[in-house]
Amino acid sequence: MKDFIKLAGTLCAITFIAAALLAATNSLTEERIALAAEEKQNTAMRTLLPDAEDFIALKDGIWRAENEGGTVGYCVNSVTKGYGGDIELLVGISADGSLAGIEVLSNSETAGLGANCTKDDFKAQFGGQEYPISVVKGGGGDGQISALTGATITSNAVAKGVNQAFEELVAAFDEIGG
Amino acid sequence: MWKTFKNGIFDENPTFVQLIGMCPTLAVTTALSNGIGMGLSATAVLVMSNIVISLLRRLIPSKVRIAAYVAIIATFVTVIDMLLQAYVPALSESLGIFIPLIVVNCIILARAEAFASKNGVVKSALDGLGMGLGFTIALSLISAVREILGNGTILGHSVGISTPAIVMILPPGGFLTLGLILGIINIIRAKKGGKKA
Repeated sequence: MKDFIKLAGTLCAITFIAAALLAATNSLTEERIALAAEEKQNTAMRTLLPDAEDFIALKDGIWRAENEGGTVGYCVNSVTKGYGGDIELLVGISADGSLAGIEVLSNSETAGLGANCTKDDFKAQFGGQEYPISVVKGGGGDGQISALTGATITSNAVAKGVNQAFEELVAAFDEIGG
Repeated sequence: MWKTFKNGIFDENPTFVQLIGMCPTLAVTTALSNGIGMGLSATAVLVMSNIVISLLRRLIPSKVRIAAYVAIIATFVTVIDMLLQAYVPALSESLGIFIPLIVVNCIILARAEAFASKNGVVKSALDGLGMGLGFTIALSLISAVREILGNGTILGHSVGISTPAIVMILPPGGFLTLGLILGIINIIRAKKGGKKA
């Protein structure tokens, strides 16, 4: 009986201290983590639409980018299923309806293969393209993206996410009559 | 003291001699930067968990020791993960998936059980450092070979291979590289051993 109390008591004390430590760290870092995520989102939006001065949230995950001259474009958050899990994209769409560019906010793709979707030469293919985007071997035509070496699934997922962003933006327009 | 430290790097290298922690070894060694990142973060956790477990070694009843070690290690990893996300988001992003993987890295549990629970704090810290660096060196070696042959780059810089063999950064390349390096090390050891005898 004594043994039982000692065993359970020790484990209980260890887990209690562990929980207290985790709670303390969480309350210490929570705000900064949220700030860092927001900062990342803002930096990504400014990279995609450098002419914009202000980003106004139209609804969750959709922003209208403006400057003195009026609307310069839109930024849309889009989540798509990659090879290793969700890929979070930020899609920039110019006011004329063409694609301004994409940023990959987070991904769990294979390092050295799918994770190359964060590299500039892959992302650069999207600039100036128009809806719908498709992945074509050795592509380069209108709306065509050539796949990353050894990562067709990732490439398709990113293209799908970009198309999704266009659809979401159109749906948002219908909803709020913009 | 020096021997404890050196032990993890050479004589009992966790990857090349003990052959433990194979999952992260094969999974993350697709690029040298990943190998170094994973190795160093595992080293940090290993040193700290060894220190704490060595300090608590007389307090933890042996019947529940494994549960206690797992709780301690998981807490450390989560705390480090949160601190990295808050204060060094760039590093946290590039290490991303590796940090939670450290929890299940059996090298850490193995050192807690085999060394830290039986030795003093300073020795345990040195053992953690030696084992961690041994792991880092092994991962760096494997990932350097795989990145050069599979992607034609080293740390992202081209090495002038025009048609890299993609298979080397795919899972089979991990097994091939590990097997070949182990083979070479065994040949060297056999030769050395032969001379001494």
